[in-house]
Amino acid sequence: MILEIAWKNIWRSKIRSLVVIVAIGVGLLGGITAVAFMNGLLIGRIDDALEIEVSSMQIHNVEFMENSELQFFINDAIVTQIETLPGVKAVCKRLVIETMVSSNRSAAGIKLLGVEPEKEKQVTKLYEHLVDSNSRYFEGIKRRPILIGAKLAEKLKVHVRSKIAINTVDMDGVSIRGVYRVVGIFKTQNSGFDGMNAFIRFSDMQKMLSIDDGLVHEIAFMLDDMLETAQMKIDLQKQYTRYRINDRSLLKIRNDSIPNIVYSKIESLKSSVDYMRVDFENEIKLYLSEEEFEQYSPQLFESCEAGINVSEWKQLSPELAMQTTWMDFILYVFVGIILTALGFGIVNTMLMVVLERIREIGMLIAIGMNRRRVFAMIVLESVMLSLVGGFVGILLSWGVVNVLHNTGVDMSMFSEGMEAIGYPSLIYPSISFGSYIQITIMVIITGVLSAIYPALHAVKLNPSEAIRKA
Amino acid sequence: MEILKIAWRNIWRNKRRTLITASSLMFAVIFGVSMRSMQLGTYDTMIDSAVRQYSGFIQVQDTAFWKDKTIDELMPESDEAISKIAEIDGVISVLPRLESFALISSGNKTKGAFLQGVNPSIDSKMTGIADKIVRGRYLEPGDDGLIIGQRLAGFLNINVGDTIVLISQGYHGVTAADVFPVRGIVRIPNPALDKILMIGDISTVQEFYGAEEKLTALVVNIEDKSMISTIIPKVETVLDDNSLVTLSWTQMNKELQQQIAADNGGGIVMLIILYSVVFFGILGTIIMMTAERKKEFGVMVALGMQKKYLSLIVLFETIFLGMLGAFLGAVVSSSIVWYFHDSPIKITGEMADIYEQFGIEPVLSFSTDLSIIGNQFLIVLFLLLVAVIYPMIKIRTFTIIDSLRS
Repeated sequence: MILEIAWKNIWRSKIRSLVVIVAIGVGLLGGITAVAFMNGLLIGRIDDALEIEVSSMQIHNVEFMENSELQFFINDAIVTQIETLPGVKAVCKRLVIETMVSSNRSAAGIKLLGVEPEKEKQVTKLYEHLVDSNSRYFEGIKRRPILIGAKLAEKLKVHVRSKIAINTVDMDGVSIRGVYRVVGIFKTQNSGFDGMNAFIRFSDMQKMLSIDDGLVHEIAFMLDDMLETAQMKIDLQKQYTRYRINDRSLLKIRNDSIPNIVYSKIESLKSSVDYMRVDFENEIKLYLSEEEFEQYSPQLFESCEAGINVSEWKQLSPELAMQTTWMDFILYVFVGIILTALGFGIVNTMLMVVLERIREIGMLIAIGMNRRRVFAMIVLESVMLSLVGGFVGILLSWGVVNVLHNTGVDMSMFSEGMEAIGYPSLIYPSISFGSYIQITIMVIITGVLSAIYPALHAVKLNPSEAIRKA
Repeated sequence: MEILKIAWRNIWRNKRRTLITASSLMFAVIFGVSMRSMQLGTYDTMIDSAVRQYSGFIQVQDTAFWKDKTIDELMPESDEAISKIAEIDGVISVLPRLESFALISSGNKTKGAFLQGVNPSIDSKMTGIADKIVRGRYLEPGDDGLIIGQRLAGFLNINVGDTIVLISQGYHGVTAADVFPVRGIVRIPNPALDKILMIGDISTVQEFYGAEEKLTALVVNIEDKSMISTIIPKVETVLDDNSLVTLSWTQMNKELQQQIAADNGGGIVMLIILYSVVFFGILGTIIMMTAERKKEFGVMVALGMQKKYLSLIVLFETIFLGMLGAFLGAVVSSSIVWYFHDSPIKITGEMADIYEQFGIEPVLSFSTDLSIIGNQFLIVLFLLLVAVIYPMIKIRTFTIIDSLRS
């Protein structure tokens, strides 16, 4: 019954309630739309980053990760093994060197990747981003084709069929020069990526650098569920990664912020033994306390890695991972700030409501209404008012976000700036259903908190004084 | 004068309401000022990092150089041009530069790097690089050695006194190849630059590239970035040379400028949303106040107060009500901003890595630009004036009889 009374009370002063409802509606509309926009931005970035740049996961030699030098290989037998794993969509292998390329006009330092076009197409969508009809993804030029990014093509002043020279050093330390012909130019939404990467055939790279068969620098693969890489990483590490506690890993541990106690315990385990992941885990568990293990084991695992390094997209592109967690946080902060500002307005309104009805409330208490019920009634009025406003706000934003999601938001006036950090210029705002639920809860909390002070005031009234108030 | 006294006393008749409304505005101003201060502070740091420490705010280049940026499109090194530009009001110094790409090698490690030829006696006054030497020393005029960025030195495992080999494409197709001793190692705040930058005396670098008496650019070091739009036309007039072009940093680093513009826009949107919400709060309060005092207004007018006088009192009440909160908010937020401006918060851990990846020093900087507070005061004032329209209209249109009967 209190619900009914509370609801009817709200509408006793239509203008006042309407002002609050409109305020909440407008505030939420602004806040939710803004968050949906930022979310769409992030999704655009992540999709592109994973589908074109880093894939779900990559595998390298641990030493290659530190120092991308030519001789740190892994055996390509792993490729066929990973292909058969459930949850893996496609795998490809690559050779990678940092080198200098030059045209007859200019030169640039880049990352050169030797890839197998057919396999590569299954893992990355780069082949869909060719600039024009002259560009091909490794078709049409038989001898030593090279695929470069639009930014690099611009810098070197080349186009399709131009010649580019690669100057580098091969496996035996011999200085070599290879001449390649541009078979295609690609342009992604990340101009940094476009300027720093060029692709040639795996076989051509092998020949150029005198690399034996069976050796690769990098294995990249996509999982069926692109983003869910955590379990796969552990599974692969259990099988392929070895762990060593030697001087090198101890040095790495020391450079991290690991307390001395833990460090000395690990130091005492120094040996030349190669552990499998499970054995390593058990070994350090013997010496560390439970909390120490919980807190520091990820870093220890990382520092003691030897042989094969398995990395998720989160480690290959740490800023992406950070932005994902940050986005949830931003939702709370943004909406929270708006609701706090609204909260002040609601407190004022409810206080007004209470003071206006001071005789009525006094009378209710005098004839025996439980003070707790009075308190509840006022809080409920506030909550309902907030919910109506929240409902209006969420409905409006849902509509606006949907429309924007279908038409897209054009940010092309900022395209150079966005492309430099890999963001799309056409954004599709979106917000998950779960977020709406979270927002509704925040609205209810705002309603409750704002009502506490006015409700307390009402409840502390002395009924005989209140009734006599003019 | 009495109007002001009356107005001030009136708002304190209902202490609670006044305080709540004032806190609402105080909150909005504190948040608004802190957020904008942080945003603008960050932009200043980003600009400082990318511009002051590297390209400078204005550069003069050969027109063809900007399009292609290759070692072939150079401009002549003319002392006459330099001194003419230096005389312009607001110009601190003119710095000659010859910069290009080069492969650096030490032992069996090789990396692509960027070689920058400067005039050591004046260049560091703008970039501040000389103060950031961590090992060895800065360049001397005519020095035949190089300074290397710390991360680059770390990657190549080189130290002061070591010899490095540089290979590149020189002017008009000559091969540039030479060995250089390392004179010093410098910690460049911009991490991206720290990984690739090498600095040498300009005549040494010119000799390396076979580009004697030629430059890629003249950097114009100016007192303040607000003077860019006035100085550029003066430079062009003074040079009077069609083969040269004068560029501002916004043209040279469009990406940064757009990123700042986009983020700035976002911040303004947030402020708009925030102040819209606050506006409704104030409007609601004023509507309630007006309704409440109908009778009081009726009595005053019946006793002979001119409606105009009454409107003025209400106007000032509203302004005082709003400004009280805004003023308190300004005081609190100013203290926050000034405190953190003097002792900036250092960002650590993962966030620090992200900042470094984008080439910014991982510090939370706060801008103390007074216009931030000034602007928000104006916004609050504007909102108050809009809100006060409601009671003004009500006062104008009410009849004494109706109000006395309420």
